[in-house]
Amino acid sequence: MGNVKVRVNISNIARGPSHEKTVVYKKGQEFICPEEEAAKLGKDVTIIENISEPVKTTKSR
Amino acid sequence: MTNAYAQYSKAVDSELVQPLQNVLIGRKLVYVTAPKGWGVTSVDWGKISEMSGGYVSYGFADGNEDTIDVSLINSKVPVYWKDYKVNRRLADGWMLNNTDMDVSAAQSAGYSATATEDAAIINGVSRNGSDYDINGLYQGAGNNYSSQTDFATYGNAMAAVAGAKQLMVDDGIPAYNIPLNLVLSTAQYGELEKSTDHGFDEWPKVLRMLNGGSIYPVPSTVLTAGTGMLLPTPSVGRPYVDFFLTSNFRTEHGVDSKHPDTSDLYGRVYSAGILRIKHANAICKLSDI
Repeated sequence: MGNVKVRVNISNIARGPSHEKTVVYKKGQEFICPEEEAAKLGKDVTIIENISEPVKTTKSR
Repeated sequence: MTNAYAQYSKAVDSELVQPLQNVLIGRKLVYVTAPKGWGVTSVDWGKISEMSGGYVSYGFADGNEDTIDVSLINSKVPVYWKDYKVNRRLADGWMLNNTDMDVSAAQSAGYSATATEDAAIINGVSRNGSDYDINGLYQGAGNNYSSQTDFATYGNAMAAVAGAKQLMVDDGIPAYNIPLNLVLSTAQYGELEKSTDHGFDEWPKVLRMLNGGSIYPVPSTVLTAGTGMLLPTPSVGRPYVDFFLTSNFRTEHGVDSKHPDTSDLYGRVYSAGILRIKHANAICKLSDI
């Protein structure tokens, strides 16, 4: 699963891997997170963009 | 006969209501209005709208008024209910001799109805499990502390509560000065109960952070494991959220008219009311604990 860009719908979302690194996102702010996290946040966020993983390219000889 | 069944219902009510109120968690979390009457099927109410900042000056000027409650909401009042049967001979025995009444069926049905009401208050009313017709406290929360704070690790419960309080204060909810209730899914409640570090329990420290509030466990069927929420206690939370009660738990009984003398007694236990979240920012959910 890739990453998505989401917009915050509720007053605040505090997120981060641990309390020390928590960042607060206000209503209307946008951030990028894994799809699983966006699904977990449910209607607190709206997915506005799918950020596809960079496509691997092979050099032609 | 109608009178006899009404009398029976009244007697069941008297034995039923108190035990049900003891197990109801939803009603312990929010201010409950006095019953408004079974006939009330909908209610108009207003949300507290977010206002711009206050002013400081040496005189007053016009044109700075905010409109209080721009959108009036009308909500239908749902009914929480469960049907059951009572053995006819036992019921007749009570009606004839006033012998010990068997209210187990009614009580069991009552607990089912209670669980439904609790789920509506705490989580919300949903038909498919993902879209909510009526938001409960968790679904309607205006703040979300979603940092990973596994309650199995000492210190994380305190971190989550502190983080949630901070979010609420930023929204103008005086979370440092009012009593708060912490509601946890049972797994997290258990983790917090046993959380200790070198003999120092985390429980009393978290309790102290609630300014006189309490910690409530909620079954994982109502609140998903790994989640919880923080909200003001009912004593101070009325301006933010309340439960508009139209009918407290009551029972009714009747018989099958095909066999009026011998059929079992059919009963129904029911209540009605709706949660009104007037200021969602006063509730902060903890979504990754």
